[in-house]
Amino acid sequence: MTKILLVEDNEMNRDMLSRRLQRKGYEMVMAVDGGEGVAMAASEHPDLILMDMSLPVMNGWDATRRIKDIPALRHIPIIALTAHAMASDREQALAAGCDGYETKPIDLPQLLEKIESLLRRA
Amino acid sequence: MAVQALDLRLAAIAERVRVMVGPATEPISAAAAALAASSSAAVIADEIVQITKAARLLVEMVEACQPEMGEDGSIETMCSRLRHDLRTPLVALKGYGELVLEIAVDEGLDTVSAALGPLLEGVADVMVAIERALPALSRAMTVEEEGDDEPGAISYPTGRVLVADDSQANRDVLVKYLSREGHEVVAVADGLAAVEAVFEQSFDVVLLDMIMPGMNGDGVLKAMKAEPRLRSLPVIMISALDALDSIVCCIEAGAEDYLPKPFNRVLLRARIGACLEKKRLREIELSYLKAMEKELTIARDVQRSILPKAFPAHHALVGHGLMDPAREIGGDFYDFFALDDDRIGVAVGDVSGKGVPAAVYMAMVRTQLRATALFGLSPAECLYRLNDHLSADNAEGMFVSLFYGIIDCANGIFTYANGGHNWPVVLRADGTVEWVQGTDDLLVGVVYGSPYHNATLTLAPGDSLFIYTDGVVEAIDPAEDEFGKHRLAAILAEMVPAEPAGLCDGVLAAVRAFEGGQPHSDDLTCVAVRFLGDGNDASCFEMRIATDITEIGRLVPAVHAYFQRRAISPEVTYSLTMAIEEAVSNVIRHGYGDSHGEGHTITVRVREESDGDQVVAEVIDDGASFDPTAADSQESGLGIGLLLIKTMVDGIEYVRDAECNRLHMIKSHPRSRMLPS
Repeated sequence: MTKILLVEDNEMNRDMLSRRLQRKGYEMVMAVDGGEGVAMAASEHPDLILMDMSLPVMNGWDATRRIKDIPALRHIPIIALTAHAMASDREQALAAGCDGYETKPIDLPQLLEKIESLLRRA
Repeated sequence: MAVQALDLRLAAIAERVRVMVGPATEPISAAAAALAASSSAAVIADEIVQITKAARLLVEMVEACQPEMGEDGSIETMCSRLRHDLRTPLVALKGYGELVLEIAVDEGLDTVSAALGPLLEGVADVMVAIERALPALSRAMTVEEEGDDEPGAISYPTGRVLVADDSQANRDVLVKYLSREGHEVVAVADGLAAVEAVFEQSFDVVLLDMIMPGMNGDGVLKAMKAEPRLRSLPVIMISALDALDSIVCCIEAGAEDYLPKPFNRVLLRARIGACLEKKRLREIELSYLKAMEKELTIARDVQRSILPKAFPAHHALVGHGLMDPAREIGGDFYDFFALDDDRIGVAVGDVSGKGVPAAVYMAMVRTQLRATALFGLSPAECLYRLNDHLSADNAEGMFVSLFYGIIDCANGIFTYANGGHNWPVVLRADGTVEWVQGTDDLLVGVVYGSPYHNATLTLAPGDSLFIYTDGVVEAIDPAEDEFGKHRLAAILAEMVPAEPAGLCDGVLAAVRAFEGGQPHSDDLTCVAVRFLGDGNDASCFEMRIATDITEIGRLVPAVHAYFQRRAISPEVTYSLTMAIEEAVSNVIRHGYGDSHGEGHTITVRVREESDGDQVVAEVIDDGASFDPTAADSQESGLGIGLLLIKTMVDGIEYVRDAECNRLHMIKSHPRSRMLPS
């Protein structure tokens, strides 16, 4: 079963998105901030990470960079989730090492397609 | 003050959110309640609880909206965070809503599906309402600022602004904002429409988006800068910050400034204000220049009108005056007038100051000098009286340097006085050059009661006097060297045999050559007179007349007087006089086109040649090149005049020389046959 790590600080949205993805057959693990996200990436070895960008303690960009710095975790695809639809957000996310980028509110079919294509590539 | 203004802004933003977003949340609350009532199915129970929670959270957030300034103190950051916070429950509502819809469809819960439609629509509506309340492009700008009209806020001039931007949202924001600032705004959606607008209407400043369909902002800018009429219209480019390279290109191509997106209202206000302010100053400058140009024209007219047109006709004295004005009138003038049959007064002056005041003062000095001189008073007495007149009522503190002398043509005695003017030069017939000497008296018009002193010198036949202003000796070359008295004396020494007009022209040419084409800041004036001596020495007649047909009335008697003195036969006198008259009137009527040669002069010379066997009359003018000897008298339309000349004289010769027409008319005068052998 494909394991996805969702790093999201807002409880409601974490619950909502994890429910939707579980319903699609993914195993979900969750972290509430950037620091926990990095730790969970190392301990859970997820197949893919969904990373909210505006996180407390350590933001999504820094967490992504950290994960991509760890050789053992580098291969895990990361999709950035952000509330803003500005070009600079996208560039910043890709610069930090994210493999994909989605804006909130999430278009689920599009997200699923991206997840699958990244998993196929990995 | 600043804190208070900021609080007012935050309060205004909160109010905006409540007013614009609040009503949009009501359908969500209703839809959430309807959804909760539609089913008690366990499979969606959790989700419905979450939806109810999220809907309540949203309403609370909007009602209690109390934005706080972020760490960086920027309104933009604060608005961005507020937008993010408000969207969080919406993101959840949408996500749960879609999830419940999936489940409801799978489970066949139709009532639930029906209740979800209004919920998801409501979510979309609130998202739009948030964008309206806090537009992404202008989060800081759309906020009402109560502090705007506070005293102390910088006020900028208003004007007509053209906005060219293909984004409707940007146009709306700019039009709204600029209108509120008091500008009249016209908005267009593409480059071609912008070009059309600037060519057809008048604007004070143009805002051009860099990227537009059809024609980009830089294309519009180029089109504007290629049109002289639009070249000075300021253009501000609108661009995303990451397009700095193209912005630099536009500024090099003549754009005044640029405005980064998203717009910062303070920046926009300041840049548009600065453009309008600059334009206003440029216009003030232009109108000031225009007024000054008009003043200069008046001053020049006054100056030209007070200069004498011709030297008084006298058989023993010829003279010439020349004044080359600086762009801004320097205040030079000269005058000559006959005091009686033999005495001729000559004056050269330089008034302090420039422009209209100098011209008016100059006219006053000239009138008072003439009025005093024509009583026949000595030069010193004239200057004394003039000085008292001028200094008695001289609030402006003006004065004049004035050299005035009287030449007695009967004996060549020159009596003069000098009120602070440059000393003239005497050119002896043998080629020696001397400086005129006397008492250096005070400038005229400065100290009431100043004494002035006469001095005299004697001119022998063939001697000349050269009087000038500081425009000659103080002329400077590109290396800042002065022309100076020595150079003047040297130049005059080379030209000793020259006629008065030749001396003046020669000095002017030398000074201008010395300056090497630099603009001269002062008027340049020269007056030269040559004493011919009385009686037999006056073998040559010369007179300069203005290009005015009435001048012939002055010329003819003078020519007659010369012929009479030289005992020329009545037949030759009649023929030659008529030929001269015809030649001169031809030049006046045809030589100068529509300008009628204003300011130009015609020189007429008459002399005996071949021991008096022939008399030669010469007419010299600087009008259009015209050779009467080559002209077909039938076709030229000058017919009768030319025919008359050819009939009246025995030979005519024409040369074009130094931009001048020189017509020689030769009449045989077999004087020897009349004399007893």
